[in-house]
Amino acid sequence: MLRPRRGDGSAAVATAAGDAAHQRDATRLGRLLVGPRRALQRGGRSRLRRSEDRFRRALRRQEPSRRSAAGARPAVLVRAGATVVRRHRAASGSPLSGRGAGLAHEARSGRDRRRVRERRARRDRAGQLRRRREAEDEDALPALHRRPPRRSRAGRTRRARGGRRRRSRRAERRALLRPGRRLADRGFESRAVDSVDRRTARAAPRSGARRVRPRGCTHVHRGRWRRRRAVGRGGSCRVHQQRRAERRQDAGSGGVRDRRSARPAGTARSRSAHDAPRTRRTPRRAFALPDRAAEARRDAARGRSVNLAPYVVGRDGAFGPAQAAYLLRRAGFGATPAEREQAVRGGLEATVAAQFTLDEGRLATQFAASGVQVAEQCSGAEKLGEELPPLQGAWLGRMVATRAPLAEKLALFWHGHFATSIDKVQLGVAMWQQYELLRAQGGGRFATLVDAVARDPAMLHWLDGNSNEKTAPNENFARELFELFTLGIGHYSEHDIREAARCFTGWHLKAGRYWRNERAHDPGRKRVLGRDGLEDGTEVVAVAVEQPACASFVAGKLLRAFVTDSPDAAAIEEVAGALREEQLDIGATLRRLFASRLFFAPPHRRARIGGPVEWAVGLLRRVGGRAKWSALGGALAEMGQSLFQPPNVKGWDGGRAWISSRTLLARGRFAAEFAYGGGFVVAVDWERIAGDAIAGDGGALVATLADVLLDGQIEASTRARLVAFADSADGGSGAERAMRVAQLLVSAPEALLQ
Amino acid sequence: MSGGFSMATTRRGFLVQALGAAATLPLLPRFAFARAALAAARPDRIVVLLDLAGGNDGLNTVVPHSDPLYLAARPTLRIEAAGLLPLADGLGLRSELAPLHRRFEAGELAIVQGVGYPNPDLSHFKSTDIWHSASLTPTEYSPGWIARVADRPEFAGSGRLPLIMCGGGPVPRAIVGSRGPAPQVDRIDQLRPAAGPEAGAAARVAEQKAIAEAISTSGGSGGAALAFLRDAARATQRQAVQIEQAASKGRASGDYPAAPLGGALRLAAQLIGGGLDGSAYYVRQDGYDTHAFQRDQHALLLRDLGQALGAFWDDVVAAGAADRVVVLAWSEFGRRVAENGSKGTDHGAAAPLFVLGKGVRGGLHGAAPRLDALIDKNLVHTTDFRRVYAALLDDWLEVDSTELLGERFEPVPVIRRSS
Repeated sequence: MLRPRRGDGSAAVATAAGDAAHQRDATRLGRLLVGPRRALQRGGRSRLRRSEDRFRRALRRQEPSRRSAAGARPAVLVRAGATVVRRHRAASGSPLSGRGAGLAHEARSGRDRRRVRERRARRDRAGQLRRRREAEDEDALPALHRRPPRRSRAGRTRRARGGRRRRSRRAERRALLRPGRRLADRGFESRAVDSVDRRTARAAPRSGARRVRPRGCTHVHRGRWRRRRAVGRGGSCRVHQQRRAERRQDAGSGGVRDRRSARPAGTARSRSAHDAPRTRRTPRRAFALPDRAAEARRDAARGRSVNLAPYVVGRDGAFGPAQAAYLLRRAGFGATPAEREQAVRGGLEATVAAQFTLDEGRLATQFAASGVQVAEQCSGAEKLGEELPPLQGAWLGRMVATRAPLAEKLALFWHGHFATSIDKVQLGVAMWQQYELLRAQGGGRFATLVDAVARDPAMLHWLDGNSNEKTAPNENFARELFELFTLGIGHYSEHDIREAARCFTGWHLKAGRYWRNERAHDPGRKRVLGRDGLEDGTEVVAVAVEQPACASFVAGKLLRAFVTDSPDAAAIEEVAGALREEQLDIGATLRRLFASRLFFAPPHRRARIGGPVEWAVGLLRRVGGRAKWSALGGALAEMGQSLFQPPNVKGWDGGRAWISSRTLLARGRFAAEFAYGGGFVVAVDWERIAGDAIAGDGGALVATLADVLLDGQIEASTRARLVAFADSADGGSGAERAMRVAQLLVSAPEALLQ
Repeated sequence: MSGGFSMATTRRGFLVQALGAAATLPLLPRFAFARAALAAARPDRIVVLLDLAGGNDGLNTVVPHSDPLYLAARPTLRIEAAGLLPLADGLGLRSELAPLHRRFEAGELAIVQGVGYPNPDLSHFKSTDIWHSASLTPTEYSPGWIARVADRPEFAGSGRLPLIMCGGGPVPRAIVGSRGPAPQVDRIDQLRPAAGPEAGAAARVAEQKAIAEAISTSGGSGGAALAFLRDAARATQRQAVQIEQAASKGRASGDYPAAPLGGALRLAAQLIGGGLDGSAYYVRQDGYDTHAFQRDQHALLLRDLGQALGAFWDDVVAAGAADRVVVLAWSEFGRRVAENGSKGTDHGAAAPLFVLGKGVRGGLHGAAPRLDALIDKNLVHTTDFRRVYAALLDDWLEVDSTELLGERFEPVPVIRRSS
């Protein structure tokens, strides 16, 4: 797997010395509030006790009504504190020990996975056929960490009939409420179940898995079908029957009898090996390479679009430095020239694949550890002004240092989507925990993510779930769940909101963790979004996410975040279609998006105004720069994006709304700080960045700096003015000249285009 | 209190007067005579829009304290008569708004009751869009109502800054016009363009300006987005100079609260006092979305509001601009009549709004919404919010409200006739 590293290649911009400096920064950030000796120290007993005390004090301030509960259950608090410490340990580098490590589970199970796969493959005829098929299909995508499972029809059916799906809904709920587990932990686990190849899933903790629908079945299975466990067997589901009939018609009389996929035939999805039409009865036919041109013709004839047709290098265009730079700007925070070259060498598919990792590197992990430390100290409004900046700094430092930028970018995206502000939550621990949740699950199933966020302590504070009682339900969360998190305005009624609010009654916090308070929960049956008989909030989330409007709503937001500020309806529908095919799996959809013709369409290349955080982080990453992290968050707030503090529950509008006279002037101030060093940016070594061009003529200097800072994308007129300036007396000489040119470059209007 | 104030006589009578006045002024520019409406516009007058964002609880702001239905609906949140300042029989204003009550007694504060619109939308963002665009079906890019005013040639004349936002936070649609967003100022010391160290600073500022100018509109590969950024960069440079000049001349010495609203209104007072050539100021106070534990939170918000607005008005009076300024304080919706189980209130519909100024016909306007005739548990509006806009347009800024609102609305008679 290609993994762009700092310090590679001739034009590398980050040196070992730079890394050491970053490391010092992370340590210092940790010391800010904790004191020098304890910075980055592993958790000890006394530390645990202090952390508990803080937690308890914070809870008392937050939840006066639950004071007695918090005081009476020290064991719970010990567990909560221990979890923080465990996360801290995991984050500070002890190998794979913590739940917070996210993908650690997967990494650990890699060998097991391989062994199981081999064993199964030996036993399973379909496995042999699959390997043959893989070898045949040149276009097969390389394995990714979130690759959907490949397995035999027989195995699937066995699992569908038995195993976890057999459990009743009540048992499922019981599992969700099992004491002693925090929501985020459960989230991490269910992610692990999701992401570990399902051949090993039976060994994975069952309580985390809540999926009620099989892959490949994108329509709504209503209660009756689910209760009969008829889902996925094909025969009992009317929608399946209908779709199979449709496919038979498509394929002609001797057609492929695909029993496993509910996906319409001939979608672009079928290009990847694991998903091609396949049956056991007619293997030869099923394993033939799909004729994509014929599929496309057939789809076009039926008026169906090919969702996210892949960008084929050669036919659709090149994958050169410009395309690589574009991909790395959108999937990450922008790349250095060395990383760009490496991406071009690796090719499109490998570069896209490399984005989907959570392996962030040691430096970023240290920033995360400092974030955990700082977060523990944050509690209460009185000192918010002192506590928020280091918390923001820890995340910003992690963004700059990480080798997994997409994970951070997704966390930032979801932070704007499920916009929760510390202004009301006032608990740094809860905010950081929510961020870790968004980061760990941001590339997973949307349904899982929404469900986890609905139980997230910060969210339960933010939208008043914690005080939602059956006597008079609080509509705050229910409304925003539909309006801002899943469906968008116009796809639900006021009645739906009132009923959904009843379902979420009793979703409270106990000792800082999700807890269903049965005394406050309304156990009656409710009707939400046309579905009768709902009881609990988790069912509301499931129903909302199944609505057709949900995929379109999420697709629009993904396009705005990753492609263009003004996506057209056709593009939204294309991505929405892909999302539905992927069962709202965000990572899988983004993988298709990043390798699609739609993504590389030239009009999208510079159609996004970058938000302050991605802009500033991108600039710092490009020059291997460092900041006074705790001061950087404040500078970004002036530019209009204060992390952990979105302006309202709708988050940041983005696009042109980033630009006002106030924010533009703030970006200009950042440009000056960035070039000269000072307030919050540690001076950049421009002589190293500019290299030989430092003494060259204006043209060479401008070209080199524009290449590093803006991927060379500046207007001819800007370039001409800058060259003239660099060659004039005002331009100065040496490093001074490079600074001046860099400042003007970064404050030019086109520098804000991402 | 303003019984038979017929629109026809007001408007026609006014236009005749305005024309007469115009004819006596030889120095008026020639276009002033082209159309009566143009001659009548009053760009010297100022509207301050104060957005109480989040949905202010109208029932606990202007309180029907002796209505048994109110007392029954608000078992824990009700405000007793003892803690209220009297407005009328059975109606009291929160004591936190004492500075406003003084204006009410001086006849400078109008309270319009039961303001809303048909089929209320309970989404903050949709409802805010409706108020900002003055349309019940706002589209994504429809410009704000006040921005439409500011776009008119009388207001957007050469070098004027007809519309400006004071304070931080996102720029609202209300102030985004056909030429992009209006300027936003949070702090005066942030206005100077950053140039880095002194050596050659002036040259770099000049260069930045030149670069913003140099990018060709059509030839750029960035297309519309780049053109937008270039326009914004140029406008920002120009506006910053103007705003800084006005701020250096103006003074704001009132006792403002430490909350962001205090800073924003202080800045507005300073710019008005400094003679900034603006017709509308937009200021926002966040935090009214009180779903839980509303009592203290709401009281604090109202206290900040009363104190900030009181200080602002004192500064405006001190600057001698009191007869040129009108403040409109509104919220996107009120809150549910019955409180919820979290000791808070959910999103509702109709609510009162405030109009403050020397030119204002003070007192209570509009019928109070009835607590015994709710729709969906929400109050039913008695006055369409666009009737208040019509009053500000027709009677204060003296531009044709029918043209700007796209429909004829009978103005609520909150503005005193000027002559």
